[in-house]
Amino acid sequence: MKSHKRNFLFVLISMIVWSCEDPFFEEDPANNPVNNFEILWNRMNDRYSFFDYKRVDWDSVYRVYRPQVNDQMSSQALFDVMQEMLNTLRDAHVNLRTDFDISYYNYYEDAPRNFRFQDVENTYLKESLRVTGFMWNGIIDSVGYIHYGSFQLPIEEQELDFVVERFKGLKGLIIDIRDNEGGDPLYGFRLARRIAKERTHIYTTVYKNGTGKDDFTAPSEAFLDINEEAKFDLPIVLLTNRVTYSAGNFFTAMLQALPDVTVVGDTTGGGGGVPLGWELPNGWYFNFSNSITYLPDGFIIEDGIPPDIQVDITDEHRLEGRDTILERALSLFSD
Amino acid sequence: MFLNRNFIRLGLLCLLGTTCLSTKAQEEAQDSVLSLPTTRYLTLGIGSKSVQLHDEHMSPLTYFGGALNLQLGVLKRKKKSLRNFTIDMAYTNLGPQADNREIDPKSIYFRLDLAYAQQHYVRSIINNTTRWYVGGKFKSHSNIRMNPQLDGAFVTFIFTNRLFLSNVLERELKVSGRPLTINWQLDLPVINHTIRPEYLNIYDFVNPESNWVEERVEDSEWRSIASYSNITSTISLLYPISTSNVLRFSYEWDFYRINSELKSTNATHTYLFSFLFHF
Repeated sequence: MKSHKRNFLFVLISMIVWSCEDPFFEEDPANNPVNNFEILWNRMNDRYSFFDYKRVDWDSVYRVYRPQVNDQMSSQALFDVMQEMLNTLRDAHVNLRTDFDISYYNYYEDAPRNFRFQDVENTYLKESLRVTGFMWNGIIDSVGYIHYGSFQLPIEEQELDFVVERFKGLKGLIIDIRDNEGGDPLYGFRLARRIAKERTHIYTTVYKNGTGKDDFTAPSEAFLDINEEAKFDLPIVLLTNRVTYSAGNFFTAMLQALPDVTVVGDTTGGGGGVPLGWELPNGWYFNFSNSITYLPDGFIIEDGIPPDIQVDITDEHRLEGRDTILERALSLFSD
Repeated sequence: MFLNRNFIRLGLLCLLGTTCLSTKAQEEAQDSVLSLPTTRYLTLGIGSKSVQLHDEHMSPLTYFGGALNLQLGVLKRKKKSLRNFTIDMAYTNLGPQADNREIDPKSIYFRLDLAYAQQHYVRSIINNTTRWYVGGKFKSHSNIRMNPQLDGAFVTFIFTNRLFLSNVLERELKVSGRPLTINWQLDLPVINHTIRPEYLNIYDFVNPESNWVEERVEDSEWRSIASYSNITSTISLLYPISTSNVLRFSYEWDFYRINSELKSTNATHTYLFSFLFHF
C-alpha cells in the first residue's frame, strides 16, 4: 500500500508542471466591430512606414473614422469604414481582406492608360512577334523589343539566353513593363543581370521595427550582382506607365541605376514598401507597407519613379492605333 | 515581467520537488538493479502533438492544432548512465478557436527537434526504489509557421540551440509480475542561441538575391533564460514486450516563451507510443 502511495506521489509530482501554460497565453481580443477597428488602427499606427513621407496624421484619421464605428454595425458597414480609412494612405500595398471583399486603393485611376499591347502587336511587331516563356518579343526597325506583363510569371535563364542571342547586333533594346503590376522581383533581377556590366548599388531599404515614430532598422543596401551569363550588350530603353507597380517599380529603380538605360513613358505607380500582414479578431487579414526604399540619390520610390522622358499617348493617337511612347523610344536609336 | 516571475517560480517549484525526493534518500542506498537490460535500443515512435501558439509577429490570436508526431532515436542504457538521441517531427495546420469569425485563418506549422541527452546516475533514493540521474541535454529546435494571406504568404520561424540541465527520476513497479519502469525527465534551459528573424514574406521583395543564410546568422543572438524561457517535462512508461524489446508510452509537455517586443508563446503536449528495438 505504501509503495502504491509513493508511485502515486511520483506521478503526481511529475504532473505538477502539466497544464501550467494557460496563465502565459493572453486571451484572444474581443471580436466586435469597435475592437476590430481599434486593433487595425493601432497596428497600422505602430508599424506602417510612410506616415511621415505621405504627411498623414494618423491620429486625425482616427478622430474622423472611430466615431463611425459601433458594435451594432454590420460587417459590410465596418469594412466600408475601414477601407475608407486605409485609403487615406494612398497605398495599394495596404489591403484588407474579408470573406466578401478586398479593399484596394486604385493608384492609377486618374492616369492616362498609355498602353495597349494590341497596338504594339498590330502596328509595330507584326510577324516578328515571338513568345519566349512570358516575354513577348520582336524586332522593330532593327531594335529589339520585349514586353513583360507580370512579375508573377517566371523568366527562366534559358529563355533569356534565347532572346539575347536573337537580339545580337541590333541597334538597341526596348524593355516594356507597362501594365506590369508586380509579383516576384527575382525575375527582375534575372533580367537586369543580363544588362549590368558591373556590380551596382541599386537602392537602400529601412524597415519599421518598433512602435516609435523613428523606429527603423539600419539601412540595408541592395546590389545587382553580375554573372557570366550572356548579356544584352545594347543601349536600353525601359517603358513604364502608371500601372507599373511594386516589383515593376523596383525593377525600374534597378535599371535606373545602370548606365545606358533611358526610361520613357509615365511615372510608375509606385509601391515601394514591403507588405507586412496581420489579422483581426474576426479573422480578416490586412497588409500594409512596412519599409521605405530609396534610390542611391535619396529619392523615395513609394509614389513612383518619374521617367527620363515623359510621353503620354493622346486619345487621337490611340484611336489611330499608334503607341507614341514606343515611337519615342524607337527614335532614340535613330538619332 | 509578471509572467516571467511566475515562470521562474514554477521552475524553482519543480527543482524543489526533485530536491525533496532526493533528501528522503536513505544514506545506505545502493544501486537498484534495473530490470531493463543494459544495452542499446533503436526507438521508433508515433503519436500526436497538440500545439498552442501565440506569436505577435503574425496575429493577435492564439492558434491551436493537433499534429501527427514521428520520432526516431537511439537510446543507450548503461548501469550508470542514460544516453538518448532523438529526431522528432510534427506537421499540422493551426487555426484560432472558433468565435463567430467570418474567416477562419489557417497556418501551416512544421516543427523539427534534434536532441541529445546524457544523464549520469547520482544515487538511489526513497528506500532504494528510485534512481536519480542528472546530466545535460542539447536540443536544436526549429519551427516554421506560414500564413497564406494577401500578396503571397508570410512566414515566421524560430531556430534555436539550447543547453539544458536535465534531471531524471526512474522507478519500477510490477504489473502482472512483469517490471514496469516509470521515468520522469525534467529539462530546464541554461543558455539559448536563437535565430528569430523579423517576420518574412514568402519571397524577398527588395533583394531576392541576398544571402539569406548569412542574414539569418547575423540575426542570431544569445538569449538568457529570462528572455527565452523554456521547460520540458516528460514522463514515460517502459514495459518489456519480449526478452529484449521494450514498449514505451510517453507524455511530454514542452513550453517556451520568447519575451521580446513581439512575444511568442508555444506549448505542446505530445503523446507517443514507441517501440524500442534492441540492437
